[in-house]
Amino acid sequence: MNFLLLTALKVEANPLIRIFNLKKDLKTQLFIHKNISLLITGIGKDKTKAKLKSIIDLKINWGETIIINIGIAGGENNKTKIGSMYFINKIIDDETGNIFLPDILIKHNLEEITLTTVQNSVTNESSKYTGLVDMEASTIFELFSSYITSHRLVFLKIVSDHMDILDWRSIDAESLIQKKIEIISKIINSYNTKNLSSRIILDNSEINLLKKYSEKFQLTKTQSIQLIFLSENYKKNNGLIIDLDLYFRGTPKSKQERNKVFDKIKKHLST
Amino acid sequence: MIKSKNTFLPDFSHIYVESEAKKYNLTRDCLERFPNARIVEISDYKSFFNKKSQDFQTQKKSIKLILAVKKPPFIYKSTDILQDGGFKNFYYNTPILNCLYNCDYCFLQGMYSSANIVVFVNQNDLEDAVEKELLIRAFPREPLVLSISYNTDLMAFENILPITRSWINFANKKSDLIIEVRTKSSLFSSLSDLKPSNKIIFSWTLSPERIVRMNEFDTPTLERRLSSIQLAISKGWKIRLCFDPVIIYDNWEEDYSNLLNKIINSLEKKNIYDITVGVFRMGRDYFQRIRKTNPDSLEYYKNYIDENKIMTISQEERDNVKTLFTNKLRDYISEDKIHFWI
Repeated sequence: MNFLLLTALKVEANPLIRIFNLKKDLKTQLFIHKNISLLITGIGKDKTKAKLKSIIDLKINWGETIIINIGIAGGENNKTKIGSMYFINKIIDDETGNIFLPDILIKHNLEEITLTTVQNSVTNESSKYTGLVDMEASTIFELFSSYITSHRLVFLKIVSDHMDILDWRSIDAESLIQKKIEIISKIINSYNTKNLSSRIILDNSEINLLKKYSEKFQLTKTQSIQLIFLSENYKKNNGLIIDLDLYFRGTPKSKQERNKVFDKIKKHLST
Repeated sequence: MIKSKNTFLPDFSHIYVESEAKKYNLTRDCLERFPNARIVEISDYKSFFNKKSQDFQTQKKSIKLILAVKKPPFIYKSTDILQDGGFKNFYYNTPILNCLYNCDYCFLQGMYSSANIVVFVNQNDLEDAVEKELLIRAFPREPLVLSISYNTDLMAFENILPITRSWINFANKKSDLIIEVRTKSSLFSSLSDLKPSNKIIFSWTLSPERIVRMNEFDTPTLERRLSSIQLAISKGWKIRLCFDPVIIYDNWEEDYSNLLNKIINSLEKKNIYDITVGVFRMGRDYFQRIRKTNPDSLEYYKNYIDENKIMTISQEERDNVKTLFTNKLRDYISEDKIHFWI
């Protein structure tokens, strides 16, 4: 699996950069080493949205990617402990009221809690919010859920304050993350299983090849769909895609000729 | 980084509870049954069950439970694909959505985007709806037949929540109501203390052991199902046998012949209410949706025909199924008691 770690602040990212030996890629702004990448999103929903959009179009294989948002959060005074890390099982967007529920399928030993994503930092309204409060998670879930199944969206938050601090810069976020780095590492490790990846039949190169054939032969829409459908059947039953190059070498001179060849292809793929 | 071993949470590690559902007895019973489950309160079960970006087969590795309050309708008239067993007033309801089992030919994978299980805790509303429907059914001289296991295997759930038992008790108090409990479960023992009633049809789906192993994941073996049927028969219950779907593969005739021989030799025919036989058939939309998720099963990558938006096997194969079952069962049960859905 590939991992994309998301933090709001550079200080939150530092312990992760060190332990995974991540190096900054100037082109993408991602910190990368092997199968782990890290993106610093900035604070707040707007900055996060803009930053995430900038990487959506990168050629990342989202079907094989786990997103893990790691960061500090304000915690409800009576229910949370400063320095403790929590696994988020419900995210509420304070502005829209939308609720996001990750699928938690993998074992972990953390306490689970609800997180509310707010527009502005909370310094004196602690009674209004239950659980934890951050400023990015709902945006991350909402945006990535178009690309990634919700069992591959993970949110880990470490309580930095009880929503009573006026200037967040006074928080030693780096140290809070550093103290939990081993647990974070173990959680990442537990998600490193192929069981979580998307199951595809034809890969991109195979689909592109079939599309190329369709264009060359000017197949009808129905024929193009049938070609992919039957190729999937063939690969699923035989383990590999059939080499159809023989049929597509020439160019048909008429629709009748095309249809005749296509019938042969269908017969071949159905065997 | 080392590759992890299987680290999936056990089924029902999490229970999602609708705020409205908290006050119901079934909710209380369920939470008591799973004291270590993590409870997540939600306002509407659909926000979890119907959310986008779900992976049915991955979720099957760690199924979550959702406790919700069902909104109307509480009862549905039968569909064309659902077998009505020859009854005119045939209905189904949905006390539970989704199933503990994972049969690869099951339409539930196409019907729902989630593999998680929804239990509707307002049992009384479902019962009230049946009472009302009893009064306005289209054929008043015929009983109302209600399938309670259409979108689930309710008996498989009996050790978790005794919902089948509740429905049996309900049916026994109502005239003109017959309940069909379709199952692959071997949990009849949990109901064996009940007095036999001709208002209940227990319908066991049976398949050759090869199909149980290859296609009916997480279900009891054929032997365990047969033992459960034998227990039910010994207690005086009448049983419907379902061979649905009959799966076609090399040597299917031999396997199904052996299965039928075994049944003929082990289940006394006087205790068999009737027999239904069906083949693989699925609405095209569900079929395509399941296919897209690339399940491990090969069932969705065979050469089916599309017959009025229903994906099914060829007419010749259907005729072969009918011939085999008719010939094998001829001396076991009268022809009018065999219902073919092919």
